[in-house]
Amino acid sequence: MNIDIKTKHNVTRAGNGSQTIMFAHGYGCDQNMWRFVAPAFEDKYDVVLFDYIGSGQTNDDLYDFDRYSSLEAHAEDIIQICEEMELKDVIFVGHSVSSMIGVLAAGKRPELFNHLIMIGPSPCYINKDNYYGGFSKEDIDELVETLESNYVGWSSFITPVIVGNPDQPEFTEELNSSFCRMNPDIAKHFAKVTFLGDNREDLNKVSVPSLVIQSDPDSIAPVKVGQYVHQNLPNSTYKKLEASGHCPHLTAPGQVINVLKDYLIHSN
Amino acid sequence: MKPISNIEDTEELYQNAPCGYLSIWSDGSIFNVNNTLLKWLGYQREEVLSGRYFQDFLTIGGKLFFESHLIPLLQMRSEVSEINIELKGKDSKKIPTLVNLKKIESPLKNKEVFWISVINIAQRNLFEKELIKAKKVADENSKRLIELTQNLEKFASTSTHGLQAPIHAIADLISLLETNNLIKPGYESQRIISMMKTNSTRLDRMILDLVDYSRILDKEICSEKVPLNDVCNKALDFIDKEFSVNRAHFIIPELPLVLGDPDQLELLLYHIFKNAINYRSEAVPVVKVTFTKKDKFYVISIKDNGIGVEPENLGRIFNFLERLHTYESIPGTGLGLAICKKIVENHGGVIRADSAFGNGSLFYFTLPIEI
Repeated sequence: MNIDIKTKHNVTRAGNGSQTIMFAHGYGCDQNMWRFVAPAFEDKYDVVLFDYIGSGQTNDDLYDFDRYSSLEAHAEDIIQICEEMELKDVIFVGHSVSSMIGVLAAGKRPELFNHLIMIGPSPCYINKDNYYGGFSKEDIDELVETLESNYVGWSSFITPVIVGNPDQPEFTEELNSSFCRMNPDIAKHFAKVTFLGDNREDLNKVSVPSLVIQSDPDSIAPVKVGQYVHQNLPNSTYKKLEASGHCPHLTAPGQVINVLKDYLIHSN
Repeated sequence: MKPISNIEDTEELYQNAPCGYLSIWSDGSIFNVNNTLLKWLGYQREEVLSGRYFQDFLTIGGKLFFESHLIPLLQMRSEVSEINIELKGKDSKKIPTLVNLKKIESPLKNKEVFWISVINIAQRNLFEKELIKAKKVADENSKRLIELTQNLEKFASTSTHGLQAPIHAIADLISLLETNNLIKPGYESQRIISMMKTNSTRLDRMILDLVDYSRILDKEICSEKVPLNDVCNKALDFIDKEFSVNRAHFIIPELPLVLGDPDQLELLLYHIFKNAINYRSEAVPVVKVTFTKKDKFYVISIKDNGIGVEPENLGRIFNFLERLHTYESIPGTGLGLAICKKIVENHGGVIRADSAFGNGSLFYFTLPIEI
């Protein structure tokens, strides 16, 4: 099967700049999550958005459960996107699990990346020995079980009803579909891979400069975890937002844009 | 009489309403909660209001959903309702709930307030679990059925193909006996060999029809625009090869384009034409094709001047392996019309027959119009 990489990953590209900034979405989401942040970079950058296989508008048949049983495969996909689209000196912005996928990709192919920017990263969600990840093994088992039994809000049969702004029904519809669209089997599998993973050892393999963006409180990737990532990345900057929640790019996009731009101006 | 507002105490209404109720800041920290929810959770008021977050009472799946979906949605929309979320009470007791959330402009700058109402759905949840269990069983069964069907189809096609080689060998051997004049005329052996020949031909036809039948079983049709005249001509080519003598007279007008699988449609017409010849009367077979348009379908009719079918037998003729005549009187396999029926059904249509015995048969079926 030889499918064009852009089709495979639903790649969208916009902007006028020569340097590429690539936004990578987190678990249970798709590239729509960047709708408030990405457009702010189109005047100066070549903005690339995509969906991971199994998420968003990609073909579920391409989700090979064996291959995607580790984040490495997603990192290889990122590298393939860069290679086939001939992207160089990429500024990679990853949210949540994408941060570690970025770590793996940049560790493997540092020459492709200029900067690695992480929003709400966690190298390991489970508490281990002296490491604080925020969750116990039981919590994660429970998550998998939840996905199995009621599939929280991503399932097609428990779609949240969104009230308000009836003058924009198509926007609501679009939100609903992008918020909820994930095949239950893939959601479960990706959850296991994401939340049972341990990439602490991979942090010090990153040689490209990096930025950790942390919100407070973040119940998925707590402040302590963000600080751990910063301390263990060889060449990193740490920035705490005046915002809460795991998705500041959705809830406080202005701050995220400012922090990104500020960092990029001062580091280039 | 007192005004209603004096009878109903608002504080009482809030605290002991038949639903849980809490207020949080946009970062999730709880600043108010009602007695009903405290009772469900098993916590004291102080325990909940001492800097705890709404997220603290969620499972990890709930936290993920809250952070990545619910809060962003609330920021964009002022209300979100009927969210299925599990709350964690004291001693890790889990309470399945449906929550409605509403964003309120806060008196404090840069801080929004969310009101959350909570409905306990433990009973409904049990019912849902049963449903999910039943769905799982149904899914597994249908998966097994698909596997079984595939195995059966594979079995049918390999065995029919496997049978063809030896039966051809037997037919060849009988011809060899004949061409080499090894059969003594007038002897019992001649009669037996002639019976062997009839039966081997019968078996060969049967296998051919079974191969056709297995080919169209549950096959996804590849729909394309098909000119019916082309299909008729190809079917007639086969008829010509099979019936070198007594060629029937076919009256075929200009026919429309239909939507269908050309191979299957060819097979369909071949079998109907063949029937008209096999079940002919004394007269030279005359087969007339006509069509009419009806809504989104064409009705294709094929009339012959053969022996026809008694009306009481019309219901049986499309059945699998059903025959109205012995093989000795009119050779046949009982598969031809079953194949026709399956093909028409594969195209989402119906096939019927009409006949008065001794006055020919009329077969008519529907095919989708090419749009």
